[in-house]
Amino acid sequence: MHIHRRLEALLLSPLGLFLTTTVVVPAFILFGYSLFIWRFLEPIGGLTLENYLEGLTAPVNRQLVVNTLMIGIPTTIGSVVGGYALAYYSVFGTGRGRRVLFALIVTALMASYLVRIYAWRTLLGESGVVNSGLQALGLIEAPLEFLLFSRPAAIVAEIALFMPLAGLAFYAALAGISPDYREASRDLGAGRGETLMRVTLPLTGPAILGTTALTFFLSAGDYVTPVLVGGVGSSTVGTAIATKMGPSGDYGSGAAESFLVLVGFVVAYLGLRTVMRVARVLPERAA
Amino acid sequence: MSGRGGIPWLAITCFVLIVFLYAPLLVATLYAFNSGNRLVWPPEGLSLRWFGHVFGDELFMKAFSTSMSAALITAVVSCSIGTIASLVFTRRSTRIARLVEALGRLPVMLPPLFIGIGFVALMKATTLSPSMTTIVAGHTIIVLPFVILIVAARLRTYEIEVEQAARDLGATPIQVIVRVTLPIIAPAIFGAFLVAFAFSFDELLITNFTSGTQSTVPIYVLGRLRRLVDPSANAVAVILLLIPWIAFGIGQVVLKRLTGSGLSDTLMRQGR
Repeated sequence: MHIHRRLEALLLSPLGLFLTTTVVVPAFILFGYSLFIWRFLEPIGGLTLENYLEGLTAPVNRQLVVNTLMIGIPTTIGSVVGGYALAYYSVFGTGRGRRVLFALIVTALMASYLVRIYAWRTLLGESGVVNSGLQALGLIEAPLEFLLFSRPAAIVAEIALFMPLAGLAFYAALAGISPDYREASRDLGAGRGETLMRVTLPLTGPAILGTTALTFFLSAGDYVTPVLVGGVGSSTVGTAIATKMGPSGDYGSGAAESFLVLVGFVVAYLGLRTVMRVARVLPERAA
Repeated sequence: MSGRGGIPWLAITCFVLIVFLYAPLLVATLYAFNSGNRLVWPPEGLSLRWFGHVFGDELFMKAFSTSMSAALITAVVSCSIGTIASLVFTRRSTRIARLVEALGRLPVMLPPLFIGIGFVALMKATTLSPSMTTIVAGHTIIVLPFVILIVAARLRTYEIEVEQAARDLGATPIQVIVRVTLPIIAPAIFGAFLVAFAFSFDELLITNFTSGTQSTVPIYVLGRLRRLVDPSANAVAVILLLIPWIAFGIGQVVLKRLTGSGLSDTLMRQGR
Protein backbone atom coordinates (compact mmCIF):
# COMPACT_ATOMS: atom_id res chain seq x y z
CA MET A 1 0.00 0.00 0.00
CA HIS A 2 1.25 3.44 -0.83
CA ILE A 3 1.53 5.79 2.11
CA HIS A 4 0.75 9.32 1.05
CA ARG A 5 2.53 12.38 2.40
CA ARG A 6 0.06 13.34 5.09
CA LEU A 7 -0.06 9.84 6.50
CA GLU A 8 3.73 9.63 6.37
CA ALA A 9 4.05 12.80 8.45
CA LEU A 10 1.46 11.51 10.91
CA LEU A 11 3.22 8.17 11.38
CA LEU A 12 6.74 9.60 11.65
CA SER A 13 6.08 12.53 13.92
CA PRO A 14 5.83 10.75 17.30
CA LEU A 15 9.23 9.09 16.87
CA GLY A 16 10.82 12.13 15.27
CA LEU A 17 9.52 14.57 17.86
CA PHE A 18 10.35 12.30 20.78
CA LEU A 19 13.97 11.72 19.78
CA THR A 20 14.45 15.35 18.80
CA THR A 21 13.26 16.47 22.22
CA THR A 22 15.18 13.90 24.22
CA VAL A 23 18.42 13.51 22.25
CA VAL A 24 18.98 16.37 19.80
CA VAL A 25 17.72 19.32 21.84
CA PRO A 26 19.65 18.26 25.00
CA ALA A 27 22.86 18.23 22.96
CA PHE A 28 22.32 21.92 22.17
CA ILE A 29 21.43 22.70 25.77
CA LEU A 30 24.59 20.94 26.93
CA PHE A 31 26.62 22.94 24.46
CA GLY A 32 25.11 26.11 25.85
CA TYR A 33 25.88 24.98 29.40
CA SER A 34 29.49 24.27 28.47
CA LEU A 35 30.01 27.98 27.69
CA PHE A 36 29.36 29.11 31.25
CA ILE A 37 31.04 28.68 34.60
CA TRP A 38 28.65 27.01 37.07
CA ARG A 39 28.48 27.53 40.82
CA PHE A 40 25.87 25.88 43.03
CA LEU A 41 23.88 24.57 40.06
CA GLU A 42 23.56 28.01 38.43
CA PRO A 43 25.58 29.60 35.60
CA ILE A 44 27.55 32.69 36.58
CA GLY A 45 29.31 35.37 34.55
CA GLY A 46 29.32 35.68 30.77
CA LEU A 47 30.14 33.38 27.90
CA THR A 48 33.53 31.75 28.22
CA LEU A 49 35.65 28.96 26.75
CA GLU A 50 37.32 28.40 30.08
CA ASN A 51 35.69 25.00 30.59
CA TYR A 52 37.25 23.74 27.37
CA LEU A 53 40.67 25.20 28.19
CA GLU A 54 40.48 23.73 31.67
CA GLY A 55 39.39 20.39 30.22
CA LEU A 56 42.36 20.29 27.88
CA THR A 57 45.03 21.49 30.28
CA ALA A 58 44.17 20.38 33.83
CA PRO A 59 46.74 17.80 35.02
CA VAL A 60 43.98 15.72 36.64
CA ASN A 61 42.33 15.35 33.24
CA ARG A 62 45.53 14.06 31.72
CA GLN A 63 45.44 11.21 34.20
CA LEU A 64 41.78 10.55 33.37
CA VAL A 65 42.59 10.33 29.67
CA VAL A 66 45.50 7.98 30.37
CA ASN A 67 43.22 5.76 32.47
CA THR A 68 40.53 5.81 29.79
CA LEU A 69 43.01 4.70 27.13
CA MET A 70 44.73 2.16 29.39
CA ILE A 71 41.36 0.55 30.11
CA GLY A 72 39.65 1.26 26.80
CA ILE A 73 42.31 0.01 24.40
CA PRO A 74 42.90 -3.45 25.95
CA THR A 75 39.13 -3.77 26.50
CA THR A 76 38.45 -3.01 22.85
CA ILE A 77 41.11 -5.38 21.55
CA GLY A 78 39.95 -8.17 23.86
CA SER A 79 36.26 -7.74 23.06
CA VAL A 80 36.78 -7.42 19.31
CA VAL A 81 39.18 -10.37 18.98
CA GLY A 82 37.12 -12.58 21.30
CA GLY A 83 33.86 -11.51 19.67
CA TYR A 84 35.27 -12.24 16.22
CA ALA A 85 36.36 -15.72 17.28
CA LEU A 86 32.93 -16.47 18.75
CA ALA A 87 31.13 -15.16 15.67
CA TYR A 88 33.49 -16.98 13.30
CA TYR A 89 32.73 -20.32 14.91
CA SER A 90 28.99 -19.63 15.10
CA VAL A 91 28.93 -18.92 11.37
CA PHE A 92 31.50 -21.30 9.88
CA GLY A 93 31.77 -23.94 12.62
CA THR A 94 30.50 -27.45 12.31
CA GLY A 95 27.83 -29.45 14.07
CA ARG A 96 25.45 -28.48 16.81
CA GLY A 97 28.09 -26.45 18.62
CA ARG A 98 27.50 -23.66 16.14
CA ARG A 99 23.85 -23.08 17.14
CA VAL A 100 24.53 -23.55 20.84
CA LEU A 101 27.34 -21.01 20.70
CA PHE A 102 25.12 -18.45 19.03
CA ALA A 103 22.42 -18.95 21.65
CA LEU A 104 25.05 -18.50 24.37
CA ILE A 105 26.26 -15.22 22.85
CA VAL A 106 22.72 -13.82 22.74
CA THR A 107 21.97 -15.05 26.27
CA ALA A 108 25.16 -13.42 27.56
CA LEU A 109 24.15 -10.19 25.85
CA MET A 110 20.74 -10.31 27.54
CA ALA A 111 22.29 -10.89 30.97
CA SER A 112 22.03 -7.93 33.31
CA TYR A 113 24.66 -5.23 32.69
CA LEU A 114 25.14 -4.51 36.38
CA VAL A 115 25.31 -8.18 37.40
CA ARG A 116 27.90 -8.91 34.72
CA ILE A 117 30.11 -6.23 36.28
CA TYR A 118 29.37 -7.02 39.88
CA ALA A 119 29.84 -10.78 39.46
CA TRP A 120 33.59 -10.25 39.03
CA ARG A 121 33.76 -9.21 42.66
CA THR A 122 32.65 -12.64 43.76
CA LEU A 123 35.43 -14.13 41.65
CA LEU A 124 38.27 -11.70 42.28
CA GLY A 125 37.49 -10.36 45.76
CA GLU A 126 39.63 -10.86 48.84
CA SER A 127 37.68 -13.97 49.81
CA GLY A 128 36.53 -14.66 46.25
CA VAL A 129 36.87 -17.88 44.33
CA VAL A 130 40.30 -17.19 42.87
CA ASN A 131 41.92 -16.14 46.14
CA SER A 132 40.24 -18.88 48.18
CA GLY A 133 41.23 -21.44 45.57
CA LEU A 134 44.86 -20.36 45.46
CA GLN A 135 45.01 -20.33 49.26
CA ALA A 136 43.44 -23.77 49.52
CA LEU A 137 46.02 -25.09 47.10
CA GLY A 138 48.73 -23.52 49.26
CA LEU A 139 50.04 -21.43 46.38
CA ILE A 140 49.62 -18.16 48.25
CA GLU A 141 49.46 -17.33 51.96
CA ALA A 142 47.48 -14.11 51.96
CA PRO A 143 44.80 -13.04 49.48
CA LEU A 144 46.12 -11.24 46.42
CA GLU A 145 44.65 -7.80 46.87
CA PHE A 146 45.53 -6.51 43.44
CA LEU A 147 43.05 -8.92 41.83
CA LEU A 148 40.15 -6.62 42.58
CA PHE A 149 40.02 -2.82 42.56
CA SER A 150 42.72 -2.52 39.98
CA ARG A 151 42.97 -1.48 36.38
CA PRO A 152 43.36 -5.09 35.12
CA ALA A 153 40.18 -6.03 37.00
CA ALA A 154 38.29 -3.25 35.21
CA ILE A 155 39.70 -4.41 31.87
CA VAL A 156 38.71 -8.04 32.47
CA ALA A 157 35.19 -7.06 33.53
CA GLU A 158 34.73 -4.74 30.54
CA ILE A 159 35.98 -7.32 28.05
CA ALA A 160 33.33 -9.73 29.35
CA LEU A 161 30.81 -6.92 29.23
CA PHE A 162 31.32 -5.92 25.59
CA MET A 163 32.42 -9.17 23.94
CA PRO A 164 28.87 -10.54 23.35
CA LEU A 165 27.85 -7.31 21.63
CA ALA A 166 30.92 -7.49 19.38
CA GLY A 167 30.16 -11.16 18.71
CA LEU A 168 26.65 -10.35 17.56
CA ALA A 169 27.82 -7.55 15.24
CA PHE A 170 30.46 -9.82 13.69
CA TYR A 171 27.95 -12.62 13.36
CA ALA A 172 25.77 -10.43 11.16
CA ALA A 173 28.78 -9.39 9.07
CA LEU A 174 30.23 -12.90 8.66
CA ALA A 175 26.86 -14.47 7.89
CA GLY A 176 26.40 -11.86 5.18
CA ILE A 177 29.50 -12.97 3.23
CA SER A 178 28.63 -14.97 0.16
CA PRO A 179 30.27 -18.42 0.43
CA ASP A 180 31.42 -17.98 -3.18
CA TYR A 181 34.22 -15.61 -2.19
CA ARG A 182 35.70 -17.97 0.37
CA GLU A 183 35.36 -20.93 -1.98
CA ALA A 184 36.98 -19.00 -4.82
CA SER A 185 39.87 -18.16 -2.52
CA ARG A 186 40.36 -21.84 -1.66
CA ASP A 187 40.04 -22.88 -5.29
CA LEU A 188 42.76 -20.42 -6.17
CA GLY A 189 45.02 -22.17 -3.72
CA ALA A 190 44.82 -20.01 -0.62
CA GLY A 191 45.03 -21.81 2.73
CA ARG A 192 42.72 -21.18 5.67
CA GLY A 193 44.94 -18.50 7.12
CA GLU A 194 45.35 -16.69 3.85
CA THR A 195 41.61 -16.82 3.14
CA LEU A 196 40.96 -15.35 6.57
CA MET A 197 43.48 -12.56 6.21
CA ARG A 198 42.92 -11.62 2.59
CA VAL A 199 39.25 -12.40 2.00
CA THR A 200 37.17 -12.78 5.16
CA LEU A 201 38.74 -10.01 7.26
CA PRO A 202 38.59 -7.33 4.53
CA LEU A 203 35.00 -8.27 3.71
CA THR A 204 34.08 -7.68 7.34
CA GLY A 205 36.24 -4.54 7.50
CA PRO A 206 33.36 -2.11 7.94
CA ALA A 207 31.98 -4.21 10.81
CA ILE A 208 35.41 -4.36 12.44
CA LEU A 209 35.78 -0.60 12.20
CA GLY A 210 32.27 0.06 13.50
CA THR A 211 32.47 -2.45 16.34
CA THR A 212 35.94 -1.36 17.42
CA ALA A 213 34.82 2.24 17.55
CA LEU A 214 31.59 1.42 19.39
CA THR A 215 33.32 -0.79 21.97
CA PHE A 216 35.92 1.85 22.71
CA PHE A 217 33.23 4.50 22.99
CA LEU A 218 31.13 2.36 25.32
CA SER A 219 34.19 1.62 27.45
CA ALA A 220 35.07 5.31 27.73
CA GLY A 221 31.47 6.09 28.68
CA ASP A 222 31.04 3.24 31.17
CA TYR A 223 31.10 4.98 34.51
CA VAL A 224 30.09 1.98 36.61
CA THR A 225 32.78 -0.66 35.99
CA PRO A 226 35.72 1.60 36.91
CA VAL A 227 34.02 2.38 40.21
CA LEU A 228 32.76 -1.11 41.11
CA VAL A 229 35.81 -3.19 40.21
CA GLY A 230 38.46 -0.70 39.08
CA GLY A 231 39.00 1.03 42.40
CA VAL A 232 40.15 4.54 43.17
CA GLY A 233 42.99 4.70 40.65
CA SER A 234 40.83 3.77 37.67
CA SER A 235 38.73 6.90 37.18
CA THR A 236 38.08 7.55 33.51
CA VAL A 237 36.64 10.45 31.55
CA GLY A 238 33.31 8.63 31.87
CA THR A 239 33.36 8.52 35.67
CA ALA A 240 34.49 12.15 35.79
CA ILE A 241 31.68 13.35 33.52
CA ALA A 242 29.12 11.28 35.44
CA THR A 243 30.26 12.83 38.73
CA LYS A 244 30.25 16.37 37.38
CA MET A 245 26.82 16.04 35.78
CA GLY A 246 25.50 14.19 38.82
CA PRO A 247 26.50 14.67 42.45
CA SER A 248 28.85 17.64 42.03
CA GLY A 249 26.60 19.59 39.66
CA ASP A 250 29.48 21.18 37.77
CA TYR A 251 27.48 21.27 34.52
CA GLY A 252 29.79 23.63 32.66
CA SER A 253 32.91 21.55 32.84
CA GLY A 254 31.00 18.25 32.63
CA ALA A 255 29.37 19.34 29.39
CA ALA A 256 32.60 20.75 27.96
CA GLU A 257 34.42 17.51 28.71
CA SER A 258 31.67 15.53 27.02
CA PHE A 259 32.18 17.49 23.82
CA LEU A 260 35.96 17.13 24.07
CA VAL A 261 35.52 13.36 24.44
CA LEU A 262 33.21 13.36 21.42
CA VAL A 263 35.77 15.25 19.33
CA GLY A 264 38.57 12.96 20.52
CA PHE A 265 36.44 9.99 19.62
CA VAL A 266 35.79 11.24 16.08
CA VAL A 267 39.52 11.85 15.59
CA ALA A 268 40.32 8.35 16.86
CA TYR A 269 37.68 6.88 14.54
CA LEU A 270 39.10 8.63 11.48
CA GLY A 271 42.61 7.59 12.47
CA LEU A 272 41.57 3.96 12.83
CA ARG A 273 39.80 4.09 9.48
CA THR A 274 42.96 5.35 7.80
CA VAL A 275 45.10 2.69 9.45
CA MET A 276 42.68 -0.04 8.38
CA ARG A 277 42.69 1.21 4.80
CA VAL A 278 46.47 1.29 4.68
CA ALA A 279 46.54 -2.23 6.13
CA ARG A 280 44.06 -3.28 3.42
CA VAL A 281 41.44 -4.63 5.78
CA LEU A 282 38.94 -1.96 4.80
CA PRO A 283 37.81 -1.23 1.24
CA GLU A 284 38.53 2.35 0.10
CA ARG A 285 34.94 3.44 -0.20
CA ALA A 286 33.28 1.60 2.66
CA ALA A 287 32.19 3.22 5.92
CA MET B 1 36.06 -25.66 11.97
CA SER B 2 39.13 -27.65 12.82
CA GLY B 3 41.89 -28.28 10.39
CA ARG B 4 41.14 -31.83 9.27
CA GLY B 5 42.47 -34.08 12.00
CA GLY B 6 44.31 -31.19 13.66
CA ILE B 7 43.64 -29.71 17.08
CA PRO B 8 40.37 -27.71 16.95
CA TRP B 9 41.95 -24.50 18.22
CA LEU B 10 39.01 -22.30 17.36
CA ALA B 11 36.51 -24.56 19.14
CA ILE B 12 38.76 -24.65 22.22
CA THR B 13 39.14 -20.85 22.15
CA CYS B 14 35.38 -20.39 21.96
CA PHE B 15 34.86 -22.80 24.82
CA VAL B 16 37.30 -20.86 26.99
CA LEU B 17 35.62 -17.56 26.05
CA ILE B 18 32.20 -18.92 27.01
CA VAL B 19 33.58 -20.08 30.37
CA PHE B 20 35.06 -16.61 30.79
CA LEU B 21 31.67 -14.99 30.08
CA TYR B 22 29.59 -17.28 32.25
CA ALA B 23 31.83 -18.24 35.19
CA PRO B 24 31.26 -14.97 37.07
CA LEU B 25 27.49 -15.24 36.61
CA LEU B 26 27.53 -18.83 37.81
CA VAL B 27 29.53 -18.00 40.93
CA ALA B 28 27.36 -14.99 41.79
CA THR B 29 24.30 -17.22 41.42
CA LEU B 30 25.78 -19.89 43.70
CA TYR B 31 26.54 -17.29 46.37
CA ALA B 32 22.89 -16.23 46.32
CA PHE B 33 22.03 -19.63 47.78
CA ASN B 34 24.82 -19.48 50.34
CA SER B 35 23.65 -19.92 53.92
CA GLY B 36 26.61 -18.07 55.45
CA ASN B 37 27.17 -14.38 55.97
CA ARG B 38 30.51 -14.25 54.29
CA LEU B 39 31.40 -14.70 50.66
CA VAL B 40 33.95 -17.45 51.17
CA TRP B 41 34.64 -20.16 48.67
CA PRO B 42 33.26 -22.80 48.78
CA PRO B 43 29.86 -21.48 50.02
CA GLU B 44 29.07 -22.62 53.55
CA GLY B 45 25.77 -24.32 52.79
CA LEU B 46 22.59 -24.06 50.81
CA SER B 47 19.75 -21.79 51.82
CA LEU B 48 17.11 -19.46 50.50
CA ARG B 49 17.48 -17.03 53.39
CA TRP B 50 18.88 -14.20 51.26
CA PHE B 51 15.88 -14.35 48.96
CA GLY B 52 13.60 -14.12 52.00
CA HIS B 53 15.73 -11.24 53.20
CA VAL B 54 15.35 -9.43 49.87
CA PHE B 55 11.62 -9.97 49.45
CA GLY B 56 11.11 -8.83 53.04
CA ASP B 57 12.90 -5.57 52.31
CA GLU B 58 10.39 -2.80 51.70
CA LEU B 59 12.90 -0.73 49.71
CA PHE B 60 13.53 -3.61 47.36
CA MET B 61 9.83 -4.28 46.84
CA LYS B 62 9.31 -0.63 46.04
CA ALA B 63 12.20 -0.64 43.58
CA PHE B 64 10.84 -3.84 42.06
CA SER B 65 7.42 -2.34 41.45
CA THR B 66 8.99 0.84 40.02
CA SER B 67 11.06 -1.27 37.62
CA MET B 68 8.08 -3.35 36.58
CA SER B 69 5.94 -0.28 35.89
CA ALA B 70 8.76 1.47 34.04
CA ALA B 71 9.45 -1.60 31.92
CA LEU B 72 5.78 -2.09 31.02
CA ILE B 73 5.18 1.56 30.14
CA THR B 74 8.46 1.72 28.18
CA ALA B 75 7.48 -1.36 26.20
CA VAL B 76 4.03 0.06 25.35
CA VAL B 77 5.36 3.49 24.38
CA SER B 78 8.35 2.28 22.38
CA CYS B 79 6.33 -0.34 20.50
CA SER B 80 3.65 2.20 19.62
CA ILE B 81 5.87 4.92 18.24
CA GLY B 82 8.44 2.48 16.86
CA THR B 83 5.88 0.40 14.97
CA ILE B 84 4.06 3.23 13.26
CA ALA B 85 7.34 4.80 12.19
CA SER B 86 8.56 1.44 10.86
CA LEU B 87 5.49 1.32 8.61
CA VAL B 88 6.97 4.32 6.81
CA PHE B 89 10.63 3.20 6.86
CA THR B 90 9.82 0.04 4.93
CA ARG B 91 7.74 1.78 2.26
CA ARG B 92 9.04 5.24 1.63
CA SER B 93 12.54 6.59 1.28
CA THR B 94 11.88 10.29 1.28
CA ARG B 95 14.50 12.55 2.85
CA ILE B 96 12.42 13.00 5.99
CA ALA B 97 11.84 9.25 6.36
CA ARG B 98 15.54 8.51 6.05
CA LEU B 99 16.37 11.30 8.49
CA VAL B 100 13.99 9.96 11.14
CA GLU B 101 15.26 6.43 10.52
CA ALA B 102 18.84 7.58 11.11
CA LEU B 103 17.69 9.38 14.25
CA GLY B 104 16.09 6.13 15.41
CA ARG B 105 19.40 4.32 15.08
CA LEU B 106 21.45 7.00 16.82
CA PRO B 107 20.86 5.88 20.43
CA VAL B 108 22.73 2.55 20.01
CA MET B 109 25.78 4.41 18.75
CA LEU B 110 26.07 6.64 21.80
CA PRO B 111 27.25 5.60 25.25
CA PRO B 112 24.20 5.71 27.56
CA LEU B 113 26.14 8.17 29.72
CA PHE B 114 25.69 10.82 27.02
CA ILE B 115 21.96 10.23 26.84
CA GLY B 116 21.81 10.40 30.62
CA ILE B 117 23.60 13.72 30.90
CA GLY B 118 21.42 15.04 28.08
CA PHE B 119 18.49 14.40 30.40
CA VAL B 120 20.21 16.23 33.21
CA ALA B 121 20.47 19.26 30.93
CA LEU B 122 16.92 18.90 29.65
CA MET B 123 15.47 18.62 33.15
CA LYS B 124 17.51 21.56 34.37
CA ALA B 125 16.48 23.74 31.40
CA THR B 126 12.78 22.89 31.68
CA THR B 127 12.76 22.66 35.50
CA LEU B 128 11.28 19.19 35.13
CA SER B 129 11.75 16.96 38.18
CA PRO B 130 12.84 13.33 37.95
CA SER B 131 9.79 11.10 37.86
CA MET B 132 8.40 7.96 36.29
CA THR B 133 8.02 10.01 33.11
CA THR B 134 11.72 10.81 32.88
CA ILE B 135 12.71 7.22 33.72
CA VAL B 136 10.44 5.89 30.97
CA ALA B 137 11.60 8.51 28.46
CA GLY B 138 15.23 7.53 29.04
CA HIS B 139 14.48 3.83 28.66
CA THR B 140 12.37 4.43 25.56
CA ILE B 141 15.30 6.12 23.81
CA ILE B 142 17.58 3.12 24.07
CA VAL B 143 15.01 0.41 23.35
CA LEU B 144 13.57 2.13 20.26
CA PRO B 145 16.36 1.02 17.88
CA PHE B 146 15.68 -2.60 18.85
CA VAL B 147 11.91 -2.25 18.49
CA ILE B 148 12.37 -0.75 15.02
CA LEU B 149 14.85 -3.46 14.08
CA ILE B 150 12.47 -6.27 15.03
CA VAL B 151 9.26 -4.76 13.62
CA ALA B 152 10.85 -3.50 10.39
CA ALA B 153 12.43 -6.91 9.78
CA ARG B 154 8.94 -8.44 9.83
CA LEU B 155 7.48 -5.71 7.63
CA ARG B 156 10.13 -6.38 5.00
CA THR B 157 9.22 -10.06 4.68
CA TYR B 158 5.46 -10.09 4.55
CA GLU B 159 3.37 -9.96 1.41
CA ILE B 160 2.43 -6.37 0.96
CA GLU B 161 -0.13 -7.24 -1.77
CA VAL B 162 -2.77 -8.06 0.85
CA GLU B 163 -2.82 -4.39 1.76
CA GLN B 164 -3.49 -3.40 -1.82
CA ALA B 165 -6.29 -5.95 -1.92
CA ALA B 166 -7.85 -4.32 1.14
CA ARG B 167 -7.49 -0.91 -0.49
CA ASP B 168 -9.18 -2.16 -3.65
CA LEU B 169 -12.05 -3.43 -1.53
CA GLY B 170 -12.56 0.08 -0.25
CA ALA B 171 -10.62 0.28 3.03
CA THR B 172 -9.05 3.61 4.00
CA PRO B 173 -5.26 3.67 4.65
CA ILE B 174 -5.83 3.81 8.42
CA GLN B 175 -8.26 0.89 8.20
CA VAL B 176 -5.71 -1.11 6.25
CA ILE B 177 -3.06 -0.50 8.89
CA VAL B 178 -5.34 -1.31 11.82
CA ARG B 179 -7.24 -4.27 10.35
CA VAL B 180 -4.71 -5.85 7.98
CA THR B 181 -1.12 -4.82 8.69
CA LEU B 182 -1.09 -4.76 12.48
CA PRO B 183 -2.68 -8.20 12.94
CA ILE B 184 -0.12 -9.70 10.55
CA ILE B 185 2.89 -8.15 12.27
CA ALA B 186 1.48 -8.65 15.78
CA PRO B 187 3.93 -11.45 16.71
CA ALA B 188 6.90 -9.22 15.86
CA ILE B 189 5.43 -6.40 17.95
CA PHE B 190 4.99 -8.85 20.81
CA GLY B 191 8.65 -9.85 20.48
CA ALA B 192 9.71 -6.21 20.40
CA PHE B 193 7.57 -5.59 23.49
CA LEU B 194 9.42 -8.29 25.44
CA VAL B 195 12.85 -7.10 24.32
CA ALA B 196 11.93 -3.54 25.31
CA PHE B 197 10.69 -4.84 28.66
CA ALA B 198 13.91 -6.81 29.23
CA PHE B 199 16.25 -3.93 28.39
CA SER B 200 14.21 -1.43 30.37
CA PHE B 201 14.08 -3.59 33.48
CA ASP B 202 17.87 -3.79 33.56
CA GLU B 203 18.69 -0.21 32.48
CA LEU B 204 21.13 1.49 34.82
CA LEU B 205 23.38 4.01 33.10
CA ILE B 206 20.62 6.42 32.02
CA THR B 207 18.26 5.72 34.94
CA ASN B 208 20.98 6.88 37.30
CA PHE B 209 20.40 10.41 35.95
CA THR B 210 16.63 10.31 35.46
CA SER B 211 15.28 8.58 38.56
CA GLY B 212 15.98 11.18 41.23
CA THR B 213 15.10 9.71 44.62
CA GLN B 214 13.14 6.78 43.19
CA SER B 215 14.95 3.48 42.93
CA THR B 216 14.68 0.90 40.21
CA VAL B 217 16.09 -2.57 40.89
CA PRO B 218 19.49 -1.85 39.26
CA ILE B 219 19.74 1.46 41.15
CA TYR B 220 18.87 -0.35 44.40
CA VAL B 221 21.59 -2.94 43.76
CA LEU B 222 24.15 -0.28 42.89
CA GLY B 223 23.36 1.46 46.17
CA ARG B 224 23.95 -1.74 48.12
CA LEU B 225 27.17 -2.51 46.28
CA ARG B 226 28.66 0.80 47.27
CA ARG B 227 28.48 -0.48 50.83
CA LEU B 228 30.83 -3.33 49.94
CA VAL B 229 30.11 -6.83 51.13
CA ASP B 230 26.43 -7.55 51.28
CA PRO B 231 25.39 -11.18 50.84
CA SER B 232 21.80 -10.31 49.96
CA ALA B 233 23.09 -8.45 46.89
CA ASN B 234 23.66 -11.83 45.24
CA ALA B 235 20.02 -12.77 45.65
CA VAL B 236 18.98 -9.51 43.98
CA ALA B 237 21.55 -10.19 41.26
CA VAL B 238 19.83 -13.50 40.49
CA ILE B 239 16.46 -11.75 40.22
CA LEU B 240 18.03 -9.11 37.97
CA LEU B 241 19.48 -11.83 35.75
CA LEU B 242 16.32 -13.90 35.54
CA ILE B 243 13.65 -11.34 34.65
CA PRO B 244 15.18 -10.11 31.36
CA TRP B 245 16.16 -13.68 30.49
CA ILE B 246 12.62 -14.93 31.03
CA ALA B 247 11.14 -12.08 28.98
CA PHE B 248 13.56 -12.70 26.13
CA GLY B 249 13.03 -16.47 26.35
CA ILE B 250 9.26 -16.12 26.05
CA GLY B 251 9.72 -13.87 23.03
CA GLN B 252 12.13 -16.33 21.44
CA VAL B 253 9.86 -19.35 21.89
CA VAL B 254 6.59 -17.64 20.95
CA LEU B 255 8.04 -15.99 17.84
CA LYS B 256 9.69 -19.18 16.69
CA ARG B 257 6.37 -20.97 16.98
CA LEU B 258 4.30 -18.27 15.29
CA THR B 259 6.61 -17.11 12.54
CA GLY B 260 9.33 -19.73 12.23
CA SER B 261 12.12 -17.36 13.17
CA GLY B 262 12.89 -16.40 16.74
CA LEU B 263 14.03 -13.12 18.24
CA SER B 264 17.66 -14.16 18.07
CA ASP B 265 17.32 -14.74 14.31
CA THR B 266 16.21 -11.14 13.95
CA LEU B 267 18.99 -9.86 16.18
CA MET B 268 21.65 -11.71 14.24
CA ARG B 269 20.49 -10.13 11.01
CA GLN B 270 20.80 -6.68 12.50
CA GLY B 271 22.70 -4.47 10.12
CA ARG B 272 24.84 -2.22 12.24
